[in-house]
Amino acid sequence: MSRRTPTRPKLTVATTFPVHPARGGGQARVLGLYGAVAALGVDVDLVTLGAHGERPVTTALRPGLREIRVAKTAAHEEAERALQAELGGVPVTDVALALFHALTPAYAAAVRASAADASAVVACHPYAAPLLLDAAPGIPLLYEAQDVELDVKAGILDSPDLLEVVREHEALACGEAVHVFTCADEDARRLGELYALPAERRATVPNGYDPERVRHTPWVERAAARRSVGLDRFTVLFVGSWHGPNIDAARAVMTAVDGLPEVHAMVVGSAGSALDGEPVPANVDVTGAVPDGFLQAVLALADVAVNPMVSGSGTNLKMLEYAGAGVPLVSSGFGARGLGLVPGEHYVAAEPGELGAALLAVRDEPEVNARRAGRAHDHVRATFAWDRIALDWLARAPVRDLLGRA
Amino acid sequence: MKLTDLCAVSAAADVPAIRVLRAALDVHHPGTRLTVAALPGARALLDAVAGVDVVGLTELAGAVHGAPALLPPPAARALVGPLLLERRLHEGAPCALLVTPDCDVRAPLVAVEDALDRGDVVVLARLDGRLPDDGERPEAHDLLAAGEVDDEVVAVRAGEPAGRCLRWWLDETGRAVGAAAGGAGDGRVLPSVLRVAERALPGVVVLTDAGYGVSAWNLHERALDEDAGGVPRAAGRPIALVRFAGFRPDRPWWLSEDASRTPVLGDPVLARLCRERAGALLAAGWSPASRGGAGGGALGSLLRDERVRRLVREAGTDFGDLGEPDGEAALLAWLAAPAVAGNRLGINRYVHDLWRVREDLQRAFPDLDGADGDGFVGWLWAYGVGEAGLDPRLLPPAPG
Repeated sequence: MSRRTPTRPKLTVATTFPVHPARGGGQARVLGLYGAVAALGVDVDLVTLGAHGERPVTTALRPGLREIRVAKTAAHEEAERALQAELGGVPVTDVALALFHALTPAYAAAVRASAADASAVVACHPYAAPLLLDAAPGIPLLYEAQDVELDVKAGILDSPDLLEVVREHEALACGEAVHVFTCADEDARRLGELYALPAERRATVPNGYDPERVRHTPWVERAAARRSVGLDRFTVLFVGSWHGPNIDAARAVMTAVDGLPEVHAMVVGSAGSALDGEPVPANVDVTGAVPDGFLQAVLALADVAVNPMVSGSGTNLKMLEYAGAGVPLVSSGFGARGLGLVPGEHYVAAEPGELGAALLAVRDEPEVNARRAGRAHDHVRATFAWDRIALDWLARAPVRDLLGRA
Repeated sequence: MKLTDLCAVSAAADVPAIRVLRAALDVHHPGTRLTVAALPGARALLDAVAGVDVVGLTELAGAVHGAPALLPPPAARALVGPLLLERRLHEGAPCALLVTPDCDVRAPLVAVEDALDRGDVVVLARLDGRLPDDGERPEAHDLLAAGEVDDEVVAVRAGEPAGRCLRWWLDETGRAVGAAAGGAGDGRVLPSVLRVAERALPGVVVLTDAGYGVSAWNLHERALDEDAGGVPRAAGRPIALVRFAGFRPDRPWWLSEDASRTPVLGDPVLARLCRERAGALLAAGWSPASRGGAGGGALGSLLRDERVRRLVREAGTDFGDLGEPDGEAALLAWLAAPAVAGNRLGINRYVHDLWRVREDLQRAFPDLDGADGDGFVGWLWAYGVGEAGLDPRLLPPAPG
């Protein structure tokens, strides 16, 4: 049964992964962007693929946004597992959808049912594009390219045949979509080079943060929150998942605070788990992976958040969350790149070797850093909040024409 | 009926909480006897706590399935609780209340005393209504594992009905432990024995006072506030007993490592309860016993296992970002892939590595492809989770 009302346009978005609860950047982007789109008047169905054995569920994530999760069949999962084993354990869930989606017919059925009254369908990653074209004939296709898949997979997949599958799907998505949107300008340009995608059919929709989830806690409230639970120590926060550049950054944090007993550091996220076998200074709390509520609480309490990253790709979403929460920032130049943040104005610039001294300076200048944090918050709120990003996207042709009633 | 006896089971890490419990009893139930069963490693620490009678596991009547000291810790805890209560009643106590070290006694336990006037066995339900289906913990699987009734907080009044209930509780728990040791079931000790007792045996009553058993299980349905005198209340009732299971005093903004639903910040009463609990534990000598996660994503607990981290490092495989679903799935699939031996029985890399690093297992089950494979799988289900901290999701199929 359709829930669409005559006054609201609708998008059907197909992903290769469950989106709720969000634990990674891709999931956070889907929830953030389409949640904001829904808040602006467009119904959005996210048709997602879960593991075999999961309960198929339809979950209302927020008004206008729902996740329709389909579980892989045993045959689908087995085929995927065999492919993964062939490739030495490299994750292939996304490519496997392209190859084996017929083994989970419920996925195409869910897309078909949702798209019946959709204004457009979205392939989030290219792998569901053929399926969308089959299941929703005549309905305009949009392609959300979170990466340049061919480039990403070329560094991971040691299989010319599979790379050809990736290329075919990405080419099809770029060729058939009326609108292709990427996270970064360079990705849009690269897709243009690879697939002769003209500039007028592509756009950049940057990554953002959700101010509803990441609540701004001004300095005074931050201090009150700390008092309410009896915290009186200077708390430094680093957030990162188990990923090489994050692990290096977590090590830099531990090195910086070792010997600074007046500082208490928290390394939050699975990056810390990679370090558990290593000596950890007594003033460092390594939490491992945490629920989102835990992270939000720490963001509301921390005196300073750090990002001493020196490598990696894409923009650092953690910086948006730090700034959105109102935590004073200390970052390497690399960690702050691409976000329009100005050293001195929005954050204290410090490379890993300078981090300890920078932390002590921040501790000694709370008012100055409170003002700096306020400016950083205002900047990301105005530029990178999902509601602003979604508004800009909906105003672009042809999205505006397809979803014009939003 | 006046409460004269409390009992608890303590590991070494719980000793600061036992000190806090003793101090609270001195305020709210002066003169009450506190008997604590010492799990391995806790005895010397507990002996140094004033006002506590310490009982070793070997002193308890191991009438069911051998001495509790020889059992894996979860099974030992499950058996020792009712054994302690039985022992105290046998020694002449008119009544006794079993609590856990994480219990915060904030007021005289008058409602328990009143309930013991009405019933022979008093239990607490974990929650009154439903668990929200909001993706947060505790959720349905947690309730299934823990049981609807909190069988770690139980009061008994001396007499034949309580004795019968305790014996039944011990028998059923012992049977579940035995079944697990034999490879049946999923390795967990059967929860909710007392829930069944409430339905099946006379004299068992459920305490329904919202000020008791306040915990992450029920805070979504028990609004907190303070009365005019500043006394914290839950659903309008003065808070007497809070369960702080999974609480870490160095992280006082977070209620429990096993729960995620109830935020502490923004609720001044809950923040106060956590602040006061953290202060008391730190003053009693609490320190981080181990560094661990807060109950996060599917990999959270796995990655806290040094053995898994070593496997990841040794794998020579790029799993991608383990914070992303693809990376997580890749690691789980890699761990679940067939091992070099015993794959006929579903023995995978994850469990085979345990066998590889433990000589005792190699001696006990030398031929995983042959006659010893079934025995090893049985051992994994019976003892692997409790003793070696194995993740049940990655165990081979249980023996039929």
